[in-house]
Amino acid sequence: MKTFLLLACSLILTSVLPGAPFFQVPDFKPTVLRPEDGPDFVGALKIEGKNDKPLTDLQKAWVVIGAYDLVSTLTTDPDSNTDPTKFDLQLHLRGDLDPVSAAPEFPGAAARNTDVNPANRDDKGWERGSVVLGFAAAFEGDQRMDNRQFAYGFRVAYVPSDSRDQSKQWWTPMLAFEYRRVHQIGSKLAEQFGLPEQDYWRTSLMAAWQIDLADAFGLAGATGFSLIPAFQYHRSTDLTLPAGDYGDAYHASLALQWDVPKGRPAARWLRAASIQISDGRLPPAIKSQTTVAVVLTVNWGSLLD
Amino acid sequence: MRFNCHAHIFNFRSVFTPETISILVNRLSREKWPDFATKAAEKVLRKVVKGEMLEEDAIIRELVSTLKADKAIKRLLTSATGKMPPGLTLALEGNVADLPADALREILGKIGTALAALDDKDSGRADLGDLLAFLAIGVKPSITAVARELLKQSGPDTAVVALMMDITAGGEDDDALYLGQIEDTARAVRAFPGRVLPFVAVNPRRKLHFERMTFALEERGAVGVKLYPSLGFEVDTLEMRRVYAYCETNEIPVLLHCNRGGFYRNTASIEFCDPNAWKVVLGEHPGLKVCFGHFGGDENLITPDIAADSWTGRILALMRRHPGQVFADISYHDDPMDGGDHETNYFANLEEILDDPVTRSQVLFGSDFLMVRQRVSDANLWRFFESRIKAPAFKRITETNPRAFLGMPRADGKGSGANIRRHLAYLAKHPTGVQEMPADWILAGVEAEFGPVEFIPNEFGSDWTANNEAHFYTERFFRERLSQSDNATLNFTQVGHVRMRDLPNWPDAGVPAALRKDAYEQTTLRLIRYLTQKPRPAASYEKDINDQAARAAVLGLISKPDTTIAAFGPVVDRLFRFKSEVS
Repeated sequence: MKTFLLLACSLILTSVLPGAPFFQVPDFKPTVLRPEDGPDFVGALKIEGKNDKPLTDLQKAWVVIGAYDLVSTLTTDPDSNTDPTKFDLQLHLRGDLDPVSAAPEFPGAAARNTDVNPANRDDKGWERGSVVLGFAAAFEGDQRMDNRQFAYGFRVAYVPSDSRDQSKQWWTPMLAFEYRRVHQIGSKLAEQFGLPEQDYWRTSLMAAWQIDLADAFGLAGATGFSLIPAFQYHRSTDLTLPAGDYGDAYHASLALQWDVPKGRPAARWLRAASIQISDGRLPPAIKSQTTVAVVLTVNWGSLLD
Repeated sequence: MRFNCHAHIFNFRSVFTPETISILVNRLSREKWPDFATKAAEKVLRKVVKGEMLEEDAIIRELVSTLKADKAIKRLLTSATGKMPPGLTLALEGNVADLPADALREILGKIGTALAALDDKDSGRADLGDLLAFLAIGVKPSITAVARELLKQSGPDTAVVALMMDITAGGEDDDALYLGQIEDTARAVRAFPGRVLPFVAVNPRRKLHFERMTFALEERGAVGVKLYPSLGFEVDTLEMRRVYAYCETNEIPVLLHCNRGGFYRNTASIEFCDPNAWKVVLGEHPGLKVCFGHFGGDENLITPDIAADSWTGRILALMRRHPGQVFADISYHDDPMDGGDHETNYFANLEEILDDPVTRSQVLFGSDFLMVRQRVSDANLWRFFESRIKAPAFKRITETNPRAFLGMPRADGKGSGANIRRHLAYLAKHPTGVQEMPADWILAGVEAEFGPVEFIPNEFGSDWTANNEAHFYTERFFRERLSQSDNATLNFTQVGHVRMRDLPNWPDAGVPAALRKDAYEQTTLRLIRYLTQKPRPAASYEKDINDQAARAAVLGLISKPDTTIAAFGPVVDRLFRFKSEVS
């Protein structure tokens, strides 16, 4: 019931104000789940809404952007629901640390579609990328709203330049650091331990690399192959409960992806294939485990022929 | 080259509005479709034109989901088990909501094809497969995409007269929509040079109808004028006389809707198509060529004799009175496909007309694609008529007569009408915006009129060409993000094929979502800053575009792995105004 009230409030914000350009009608996706425990099949409704708005001139190197994210899953059996309901408001300052690239004169009618005019990368030098400094305030809860909390704090992120030369800077990671104060409004878990609701700090660190093997190491035969290591660490301090969102949690993954280059015979039915090995847990999940995932991104159109 | 003198290449979104969609729904409801199919179609069409479903993905998803959920179609599909492709059956049993749009598009097409296959006679009664095929064409994302479908069905050496449609509610509220239809049709002209000959629609209920007509004819390659009187206007009025005077002076042929079906505002407005209304106009404008679409209605040709007082009879009388000035086409003539007496009478009457020394040179072939797709595919329609009309007569109505009506040049490229000369000039101005090598008659005509012009076909047509400043700078921006080997070897067109997932620094799904979002945002903002700072002078937003709209449009493309760089071309063109666009 409480979740419905929260969603109703969110939907008033996102639907009833169609004139407000910031808020958008969320997507609703009816789904059927098959949980490991509980009923054979559980009906679910996934709700996702998001939007953002530049609050300053986009043509400047430093830009302020406001955003919100709404995610929720409502199931016919709340005990089978492992997804949190989360409404996150963000305000961030993004700074580009590199100058805007130079542009040539437009040749007009003299330009030919068959012209090859490579960009001169030697001119670019060391590239710095961009940073994000922001505040975020989220309401988080489970479907029954037995466990619900506000989490607010700041986030700092670093993104390497998208035009960086892989052969020189492949090892530069994408980074994010988040530090949020969590204010519990209600906690069934704490109640079970006979403890009151608590306030605590939650620290999160993320790092990931996108390494194009052909470009980074000059391996012509590895065209289309990427290696994607990613690491996340979450720590909640000032707490006594050793479960759920509490204590230390890490999650590491390594993916090898093949984006099938156009023109290869396989490209007709396959767009990408990847294998990912991951270990650890992501809060609020409690169980830590090793998983191997193989993902094929299929060109559906050709399969139906 | 053979000609289809009566076809439409509009998609639904380019023509209908919430105020006018009832005209299309009314048109569909007159066919004997199952209720569930009409309801599904109406539901989707209403959403499409209200603007609730701007993405083709959403349109297709809604259509497939609505059809899939209906019990009646489930029964129909179950009864067809064994005749369905296995992939289709599997797909329909799954959750279509999560399927990508191209898979859904395939499903829609396959449902239509599979159901059509249950009925071996495509030219027989219309079936559900025909309705689905019609809708699948109408929801295509662009006029060029619809034109591509028509040309594929018509064969390689066929040109089509593409009749625009102006179903305005009146005034000027939907002016932008109509201008969009003119621009998109011009894009199709450049995409298939020499194979798409547009007729601009004139509807005097539109306040700026004369200005829109002259714009399309003088600046966007249109070669004729289309009238649809049953949409609510009379043809013999002062404002229409102004249109006829312009057409006569500038050698612009006119084609009008002339049967009791099709679209109409109300039953009384059907009578505005009466051929007798043209008696005075034709006398006062002896240089004006007029074609009566549908020849007054095929119901008048399936009887043993053509009644003199039927619309067809009246057109024949006008043909005899004004030889070389009055034409008629046989588009949407599906009654003879019923077979029996209908077929026998129809072809006997047609043969008589095609043997007559006066009327034989005034009949044109037309299909009425995409409207006729509710009944039959264009490929089958061509075959049906070709197999039942004597070869010389068929050649006359598909080649000789259309050339005279349209003002086509001779084999040496000379002798074009003024309308065709303007069409040639329009294409000569866009030598690198063509998608395929122009038809021979265009090459000969351009050379005869303007001297040698080098056409450089580009598979993206005008959607991705180095001569376009927006596309040029977009390519320069992304070139810095290509892999080393792609940067060194790919030309402008080839760069258009590169997808986001092919860029070495584009983060794939293995990267945590929050970091991916940060990276996409970086590229988005950098592209906007590049375009608005570096060209000299820098680009600015178009009038109706702001920071939020630009950012949302670019971020939407960048965050999808299969977006090609060429897909940014039309979007950047729409968002930004460059030096070369400022007149």
